[in-house]
Amino acid sequence: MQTEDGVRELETSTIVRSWVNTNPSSQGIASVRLRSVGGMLRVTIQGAAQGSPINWGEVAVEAFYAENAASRRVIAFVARYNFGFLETLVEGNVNSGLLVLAAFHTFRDGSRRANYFAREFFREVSQ
Amino acid sequence: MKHVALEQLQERAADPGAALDPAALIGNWVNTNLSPSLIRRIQLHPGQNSLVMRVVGAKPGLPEDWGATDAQIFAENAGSGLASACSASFDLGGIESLLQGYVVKGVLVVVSFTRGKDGRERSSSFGKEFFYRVP
Repeated sequence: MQTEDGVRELETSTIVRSWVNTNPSSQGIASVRLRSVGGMLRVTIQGAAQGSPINWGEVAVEAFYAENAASRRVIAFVARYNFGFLETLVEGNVNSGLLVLAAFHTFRDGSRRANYFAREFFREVSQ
Repeated sequence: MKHVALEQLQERAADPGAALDPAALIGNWVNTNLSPSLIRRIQLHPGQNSLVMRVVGAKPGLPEDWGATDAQIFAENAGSGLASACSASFDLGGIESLLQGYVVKGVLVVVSFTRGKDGRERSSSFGKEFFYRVP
């Protein structure tokens, strides 16, 4: 795996996994899947719904990050969804086997909703 | 109402044009670690449109004064009028650092995503630091 500018090989197996929310009653993000495609990372998210989860689709990971500047082990990533009425910046990091996901939601539809931040925890599940 | 998660079905009771209350974020914040890895102090104060974030850095090789930039603010849910999180990006001349901060029980937790833009042999890095408010 290489960074966007291809300068350095990084090891992504820590985050390239399937993850499900530790809270089965979450009203935010139900599950996250990261995969490597052609040397780049892609993420798929399912939003919580009353019936089947809402598929946010798959987007390219904008950037991924090692635990420090000397490390090659990727433990964090940033991705962005644009739904038209809503833009969501997603940042995830793995800590002690948990994926901690922070989502920054910005509404673009003029509704009476506040831009909001949510932080949730995900455990690994089989692919 | 368009949504991609159930939590987005909440609405604010207030005028949709009303700004979020940033009081929980505003102030001078000092790292709880006396030997911080990336950031020593953060100042958040009201700006023209949102908040302005100023950072005093602690990492060798990076500027001590990161300068000031606009920070976008976020509530804890779509129905709230209280800001509890913020996001800002700093360009440090070849290094880009995206900072995401949120307040929990009076502590400002700042997650940093830092990467080089100059193509030098250097890995991007992720960090998390904690700050307490001072007068």
